[in-house]
Amino acid sequence: MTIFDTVLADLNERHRDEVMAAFAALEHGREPVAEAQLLALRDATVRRDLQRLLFRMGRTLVRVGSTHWTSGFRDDVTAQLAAEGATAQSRVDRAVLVLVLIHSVAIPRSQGLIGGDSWTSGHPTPVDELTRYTQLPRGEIRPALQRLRAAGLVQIAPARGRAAPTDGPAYLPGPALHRLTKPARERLEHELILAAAPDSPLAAAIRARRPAAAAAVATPTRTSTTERNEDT
Amino acid sequence: MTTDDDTTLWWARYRAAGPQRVAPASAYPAGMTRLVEPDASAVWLLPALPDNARPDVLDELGLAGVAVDQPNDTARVLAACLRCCWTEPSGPVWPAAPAPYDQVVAVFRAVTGNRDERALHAAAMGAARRLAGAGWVLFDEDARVVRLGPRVASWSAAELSTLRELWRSMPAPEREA
Amino acid sequence: MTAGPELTLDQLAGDAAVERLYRQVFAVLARESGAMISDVELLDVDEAILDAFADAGRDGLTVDQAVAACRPIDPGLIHRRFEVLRDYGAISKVVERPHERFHRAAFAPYVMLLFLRRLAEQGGQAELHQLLTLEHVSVTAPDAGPETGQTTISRLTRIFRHLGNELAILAAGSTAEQLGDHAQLLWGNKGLISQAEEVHTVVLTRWPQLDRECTALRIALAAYGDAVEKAAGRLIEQAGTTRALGLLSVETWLSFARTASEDDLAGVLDTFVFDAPAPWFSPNLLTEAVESGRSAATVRQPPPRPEGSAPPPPDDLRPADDATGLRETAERLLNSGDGDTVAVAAVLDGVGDWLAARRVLADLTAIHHHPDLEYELTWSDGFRVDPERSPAWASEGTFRRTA
Repeated sequence: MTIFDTVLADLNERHRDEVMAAFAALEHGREPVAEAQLLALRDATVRRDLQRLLFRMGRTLVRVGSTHWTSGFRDDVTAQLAAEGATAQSRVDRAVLVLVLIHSVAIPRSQGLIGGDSWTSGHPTPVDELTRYTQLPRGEIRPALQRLRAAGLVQIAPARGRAAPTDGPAYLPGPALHRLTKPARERLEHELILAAAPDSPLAAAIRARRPAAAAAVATPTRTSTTERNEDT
Repeated sequence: MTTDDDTTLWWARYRAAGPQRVAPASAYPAGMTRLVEPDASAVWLLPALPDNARPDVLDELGLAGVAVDQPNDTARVLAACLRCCWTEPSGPVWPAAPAPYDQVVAVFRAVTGNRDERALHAAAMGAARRLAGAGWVLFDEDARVVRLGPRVASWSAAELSTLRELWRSMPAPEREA
Repeated sequence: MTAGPELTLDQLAGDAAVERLYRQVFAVLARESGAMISDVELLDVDEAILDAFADAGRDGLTVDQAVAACRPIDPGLIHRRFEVLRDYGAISKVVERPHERFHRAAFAPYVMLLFLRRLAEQGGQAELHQLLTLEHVSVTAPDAGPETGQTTISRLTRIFRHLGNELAILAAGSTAEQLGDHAQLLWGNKGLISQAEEVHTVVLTRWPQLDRECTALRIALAAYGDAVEKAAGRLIEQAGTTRALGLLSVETWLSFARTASEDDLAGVLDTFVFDAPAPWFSPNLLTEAVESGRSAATVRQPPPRPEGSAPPPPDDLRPADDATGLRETAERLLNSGDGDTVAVAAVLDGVGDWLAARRVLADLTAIHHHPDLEYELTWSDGFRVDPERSPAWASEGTFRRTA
């Protein structure tokens, strides 16, 4: 029995089709999908079946804003995969992605320019900030950006608003960052603060909260999470 | 971990790191296709998706799929790899045969024509790396040899017949004597 | 009130914060409750008036001259502030006699004004550091006595009590938003504490009899440290997903981005997993790409892009489409050199007029900056001018392949 058979066995044909279509839309699509577009997202009952299917594949529904949905790794599965080192991104890829997150999300936050709790942003990271002003080996940055683009983790900022196309490209966090669950988004914030200001009182406060948080992740919450979506 | 959890992790690993290459005797979860390497030294695991959960559903829904740089050249290089590696198109597409990279470039040149030679090589190399990064081809850059990657096994039977037509319409690679 | 209806909420909020600080600072001077200024803009008016006096020279100014110098500020407003400043002695008559029209301005209020503005902009951290430095200088001076040490220690004790109390009360009773507004109180606290500790060590070593005072300072410092910790904890607890990012300063982020090693940066994502690239290539897409490639093969590639002749492609397609054209341009230009390098001057010599040269330069720059193209454009300081040629000058640049 495949996962699909097991999870969808009890559904009528129409519901099964709706769940499959939504599965394909969320898992293969580039961007989050509008709730209004698919029954399996609109209807809480069918959405629960979709969540059960995703859950069995190590995924979970992730709400984006108040109107859209996508899918991402379950937090416990993320921990397991990260421990195994099952990842498609190299070290330099990750370093470059972190730089884009700092310039496009963290700094605009400190300047009070953006709100919300997303890791996507409309504030471009100029390519000079990546190639010229960092300690990374210059020659490895372009290939890393190409790989990050292929994974949807960064995207080229629209030329609109830039003075001339000759300014050079600028980068934005890519749509794949929508796939971070709410706990993952918060964890990413904490990791960034710990790395950028390890001696700050904020970092101390984060570390002080860590043991409790780690224990909560380790506690199996499986039966409850299969039945409901965790990220609403 | 229970068997259920094992299955879950295999799906998640595929999602996080692409098609998984494992030892031939490894246990594998239900619902995954096993692709045996020609020399039986390893096995690739690829999830089998039901028809209406595959990526082509996006077209019907009017949704965009994953963005690809240089989408046309990348697709042309994949077609060229298919033409060179799939030596018996009446049969299955996996594992097909290795082909010299230069052969692939020659077919790519034939379907794009009139380009500056250096630009052509750069475009082919960029596309081959992109395809290798996603598991569509296996590309040994040092040996300059290309094979089809495990992801080609996700084309359905109907899709393979379209590809056979494409195969026939493309110029044959010049085989070395 | 002079605040017009065109002010945005943000501006009003910012003004409110500045005004709060001014009220706090001037509270010690106010004669009675309610006598404080209630509008930050009045400070701008005061500054304009004082500026006018500075520029006026030794003769001073009459009220009317001040009004003229402060245009376009409303004359009525200038008259009123002039009176207030005169009441407090910030402005006085050049010579104290009836009917004297000329006034002079005192120096101290202007300094105070500048000081206030800095305090308002930077939250007072820099001033505290300077104060601590001055205290350190004064207790290490060879002629300093125990009285100096005692004064310094009790001054520092009070400062840190104030800081600690303010934070502790905020941490206990305010929302994350209110705390976030005071986040600058949290920055650099380690530096402040260690500076104070240095002063403390100097005093205790020189004048062991000040043990009791020094103990009080240590307690105040510890309480401040605790308050910082509690406030930070509360902020992290309440901030939610990306809000706490804003609690670090822009400088902190920039210096991390620019100085961190690859491992430090990548380490941030050690416990995260993202999807592998999984583009889908449908057989139809392959067929269409091959067919469109063939038909393009029969058409000659166009020369370098003319400016603005065709509508631009959609934004997310542009980078992909650009690369092919730019790469061909790059190769064509390199082939006019040795295949791997070419002097920019040589390239420009090869094109007809200045307009065409400008287009080539734009292409070179675009190629240089393109993330997928392995070419670079470097400039040296040299500059060639030759009136016989077109263009008549060219900078000594080199265009080369990097990979």
